[in-house]
Amino acid sequence: MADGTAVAAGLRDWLGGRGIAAQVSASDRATVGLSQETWFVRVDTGAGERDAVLRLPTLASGPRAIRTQSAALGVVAGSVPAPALLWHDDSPENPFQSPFLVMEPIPGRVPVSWGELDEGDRTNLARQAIDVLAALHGIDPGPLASGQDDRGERPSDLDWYRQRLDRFRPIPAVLGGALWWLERHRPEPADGNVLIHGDYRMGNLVIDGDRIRGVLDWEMAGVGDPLADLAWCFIPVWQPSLVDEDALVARYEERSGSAVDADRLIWYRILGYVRLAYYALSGLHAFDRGRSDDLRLAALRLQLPVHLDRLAATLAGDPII
Amino acid sequence: MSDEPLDLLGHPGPASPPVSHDRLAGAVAELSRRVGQPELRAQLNALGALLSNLESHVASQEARVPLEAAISRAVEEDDEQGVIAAMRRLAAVDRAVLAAVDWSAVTGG
Repeated sequence: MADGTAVAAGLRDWLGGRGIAAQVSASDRATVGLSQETWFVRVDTGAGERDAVLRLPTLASGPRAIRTQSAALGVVAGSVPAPALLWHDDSPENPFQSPFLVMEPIPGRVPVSWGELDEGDRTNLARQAIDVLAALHGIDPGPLASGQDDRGERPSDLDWYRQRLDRFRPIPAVLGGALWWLERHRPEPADGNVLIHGDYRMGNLVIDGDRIRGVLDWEMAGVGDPLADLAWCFIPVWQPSLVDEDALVARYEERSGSAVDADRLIWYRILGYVRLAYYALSGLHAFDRGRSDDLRLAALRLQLPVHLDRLAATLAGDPII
Repeated sequence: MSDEPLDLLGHPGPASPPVSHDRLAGAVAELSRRVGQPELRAQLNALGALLSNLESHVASQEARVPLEAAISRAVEEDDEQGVIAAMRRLAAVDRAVLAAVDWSAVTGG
């Protein structure tokens, strides 16, 4: 992990190499992200100061995360609310020795789950989230259609998670049962060339008052099945979303003009829980092996049984708690 | 006060009394509330959650093993409803032993 002084000096030197003489300070490092380093910086070019957000890859995310994110921000600019990209460098030939990007901050707050919001805000913002998602799925994916390499996480791909989970064998029996079920019910590949966000959920949405002001964290963007995004949007990463998912699915159908196959959506919900279980196991693995001292990764041990209980409840057709 | 002599030798205890994990978790949670630095606060909340679950976060093998076997057996028999029913019961057993965690504190900051 870099320190704030080094981050500020790195950006100052990089800008200087492009003929932009600037004073840069790094005020704080964001806490929440587990996959990338996020720094709040202030850049003074003499013509005025501006606040900005600088993102660097971590060992876990790899440089691909930054490259995908900068490409995605370019693709969606002006079509859905997202941070404006100020500067980026996709090569490791820079003071950070890794790809990085700098984007405009979006004022507002980022609740970690839908359950944090009061009921009125939750209903209103969930509808907006669906509208933004439907618009997002209608954007031409451009370079993201062909830009996915084999190393990056593919959020709608059962095989990707199955292969990664193989590293953590023996896996919990409930998780093994879920993989068995997913294989039995694997849907036909999605038609078309649809842009998906890959991590579209509360926790990656900037809320300001009663409006969604920005969608963050585009590092898993690519082409895939839009129902993977729809299922993931309200998956309880921490606590149940407490939204009327049936009504929101109907709204998505209306806004996108595409019918939602209910069985396919459930398949992606189960895959979503498998994904959460994978995150818990991989975080725990990283902590146990000494690759990270982040106690939040160790605490994911406690969320794994919760994910698997909700997974099994969903399969059984029971409400989740 | 009684005049009876105190019998402090009849019931020997451990070399040092154990500290309650729940008390440790509570103290760490209280400490986190006094910490201003967001990242440190989130780390302390995670530590508190781990401490509060040190003793209880694994269900007994007596409860788990038959359910794991039931999942394997149902898979071999291609009995999808049997797999789901056994998964449901095993997942409930594993979750029931967990102490609740305030994830908004652990993940926020």
